[in-house]
Amino acid sequence: MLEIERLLQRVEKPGRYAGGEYNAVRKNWDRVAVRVAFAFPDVYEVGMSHLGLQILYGIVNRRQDALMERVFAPWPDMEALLRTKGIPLFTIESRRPVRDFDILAFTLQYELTYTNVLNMMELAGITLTAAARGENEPLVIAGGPCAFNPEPLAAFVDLFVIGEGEEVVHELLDAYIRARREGKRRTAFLRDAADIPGVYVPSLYAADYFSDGRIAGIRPLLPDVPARVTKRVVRDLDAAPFPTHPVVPTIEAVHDRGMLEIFRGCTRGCRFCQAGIIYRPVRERSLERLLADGQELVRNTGYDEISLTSLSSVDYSQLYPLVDRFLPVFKPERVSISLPSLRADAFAVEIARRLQEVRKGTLTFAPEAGTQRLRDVINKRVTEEDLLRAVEAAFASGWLRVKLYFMVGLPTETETDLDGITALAASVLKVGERCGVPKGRLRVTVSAACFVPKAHTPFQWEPQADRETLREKILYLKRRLKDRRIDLDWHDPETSFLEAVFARGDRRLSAVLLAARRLGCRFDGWREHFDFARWQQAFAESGLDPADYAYRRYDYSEVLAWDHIDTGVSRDFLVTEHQRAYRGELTPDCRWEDCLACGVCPELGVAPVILEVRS
Amino acid sequence: MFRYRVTFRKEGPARWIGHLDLVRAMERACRRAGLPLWYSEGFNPRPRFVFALPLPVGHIGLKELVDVYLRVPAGADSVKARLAPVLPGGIVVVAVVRVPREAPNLMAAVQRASYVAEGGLDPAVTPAAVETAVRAVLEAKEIKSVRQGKAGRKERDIRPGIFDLAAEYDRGELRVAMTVKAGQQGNIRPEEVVEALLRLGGLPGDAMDFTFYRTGLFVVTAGRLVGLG
Ligand code: SF4
Repeated sequence: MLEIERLLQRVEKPGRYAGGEYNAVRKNWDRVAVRVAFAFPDVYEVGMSHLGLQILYGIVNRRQDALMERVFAPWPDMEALLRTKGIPLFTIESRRPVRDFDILAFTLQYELTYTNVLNMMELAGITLTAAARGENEPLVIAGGPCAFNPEPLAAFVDLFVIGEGEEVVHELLDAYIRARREGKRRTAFLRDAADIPGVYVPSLYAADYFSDGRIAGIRPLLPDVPARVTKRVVRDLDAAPFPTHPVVPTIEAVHDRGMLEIFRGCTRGCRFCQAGIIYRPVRERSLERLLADGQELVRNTGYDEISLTSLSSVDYSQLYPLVDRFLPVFKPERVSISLPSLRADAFAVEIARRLQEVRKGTLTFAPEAGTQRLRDVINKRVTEEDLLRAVEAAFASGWLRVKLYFMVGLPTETETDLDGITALAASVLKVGERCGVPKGRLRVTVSAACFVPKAHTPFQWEPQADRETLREKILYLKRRLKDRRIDLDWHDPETSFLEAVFARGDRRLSAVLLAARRLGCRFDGWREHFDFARWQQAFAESGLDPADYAYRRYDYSEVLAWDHIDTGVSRDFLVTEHQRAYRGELTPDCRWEDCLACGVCPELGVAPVILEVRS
Repeated sequence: MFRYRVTFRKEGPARWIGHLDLVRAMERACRRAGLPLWYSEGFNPRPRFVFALPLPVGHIGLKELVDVYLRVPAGADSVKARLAPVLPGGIVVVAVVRVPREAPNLMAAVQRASYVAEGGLDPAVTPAAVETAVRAVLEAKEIKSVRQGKAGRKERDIRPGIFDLAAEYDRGELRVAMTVKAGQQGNIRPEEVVEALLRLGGLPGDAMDFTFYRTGLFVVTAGRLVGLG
């Protein structure tokens, strides 16, 4: 303990490790049957902005027989100290070594945190490879969106939880406690766990390859292990526990506000978007529940801002009534309400205006592509007219800055589409001038991300544009966006390349991760720590060509590394959507229109929950 | 507007949070306590918290002070009772008193701070050597101290800002008590004093390894120190 205090004295931001946060839970270690360390493989400020952590923390700590503590990736200054002093990675709450816990549970939010996963295990003194791990080492589990293609981490993780964790976490802990009581060895427990729906035990499957490197198949090694693992989904979010007593970070988090999840799922159907598939169907939470939870959240945290979170909050069917009922309650308490992102239309701006978001000065929209043609390809059902009308409403209501999110390198993209981005930015400026935004304050930011083909999406078969091409596209935009009132920021093509490799990667990549880790890669999502040359070396050492994963067009007939993970959405639906993309055909949203038979509802025995169906 | 002076300790895990984070933590705690905070007028209304003097990250504060402004009056005891249970770990309310609205600004008032620094020395160091070191500091005409500020390295003389210095020493355990200049008119950090003590006394050791406690904040009235809070 004293040792750790000494380390805190020497790091740049000791608050990341100090703990003591309001609502943090410290339980008696000896009075519970199972102890879980929840590991977020990124820095504290990022991890503490994550709702999933707060949800699971609340659920596990409410159990009498279990405790959960948190651990984040130590920043390199702390890592160096841990290594030189030989102090093992510790949790925030009790500062116990992570290795003492029964279960180490990672959340996988982003592919470029995988080296942090390994690094954290290494710093904890846990054997990296699952097959070599001892009986008295923690069980290593992982969940989160990236677990929908678990294969790159298959060698390191004992089991993955696919889908929403609220219910399965109980089943898993119960099974763990039972196995311990019966004195079962890890392999026996894992065999049992594989029977829990949504649990994927990679060691119970084998992957076969063709001589050209493509996957021949992924098959269970035992007869009664399921060939496919289907995701878990919470049928009724109103009945699910919600963290109204979240841990309030003491140092400023990236999103330093209360989070109120208003619905889960999004069926707008953007063809590049993985979240839009894996969180289906849409399930809205009721007004009553949200009002009650929102007020409790404010009371228990002291936050002066509550964010109404979801994948596209303006789509909440009762948004107006919700805001109307929140405002009179929150206003006297000086609590503001915010929306994480806006749909590009006038309704969204009107809502934002009512929420007085204008104070913040910047309004953000995501048209994603520069021309109508390409927006049709990706099924982003927003027109230039919608966008400009929204922007006009925004400028007229006092906003000064508009931020526009785009993707470059989308399938079928040409120079015309890039010109469309610059033209759109210019039109937005013009609208701003016309609305009389004071000269010198008008600003448009164009943010260009690189398209990354993701598992389980209609674009999962698409190649990623190569790094040179992406770089040229960004430079092209840079040259064209000459106006000093327009800023351009972009995602690094190298980073996006690695993201694509791991998003579609298979088991063989575990060797690359080990090599990259050994070569010192970590915090790869952070520009100041990302070192592409090391990664190239790691691939070379492992004899794998990353381009095979990222730049290749996968054939419909191919076995994909994630085919044994079932989102409930049918392959046929993805193929159809992929083909419709090439024909530029729009697909409506089943939230407002008829069911499109994507498959998830009948397959998982769920249904969309929409409070009010617009006609 | 009703003004309350909260005396609190900042220790344990809270020791490791910076000043801006402390301000935020205090505001959130007051909101959880349901205190009727006073808010500024205007576009972006803010509550008013005036802290006496920021405490550097890592230092333990035993008598820290903040003035909290409420829009309706409340009993000082009730403010304390409501605040105490909703503070984050390591922030502990010691006392709450009502102060007149027109009392001098807390931040502007602070002129002196007292600190205690505790740390280990090589046990071979003798009490006499420590005594000599203390005398060396007190008798020095000038003590140059370099500080890394935002605008680069700055060298200045800290000797005039050291008003009191005493040490207790027992077999390797050193405890230094000091009173130094503090506040907006110039601020001496206790690390600088310990550094000077080690350097001028030729004692082995690193000020980084010491634990620092701020034990009091003072105004000077008619040449005498009067504790705030
Ligand atoms: S099955 Fe139908 S209703 Fe359910 S999410 Fe898919 S398209 Fe929507």
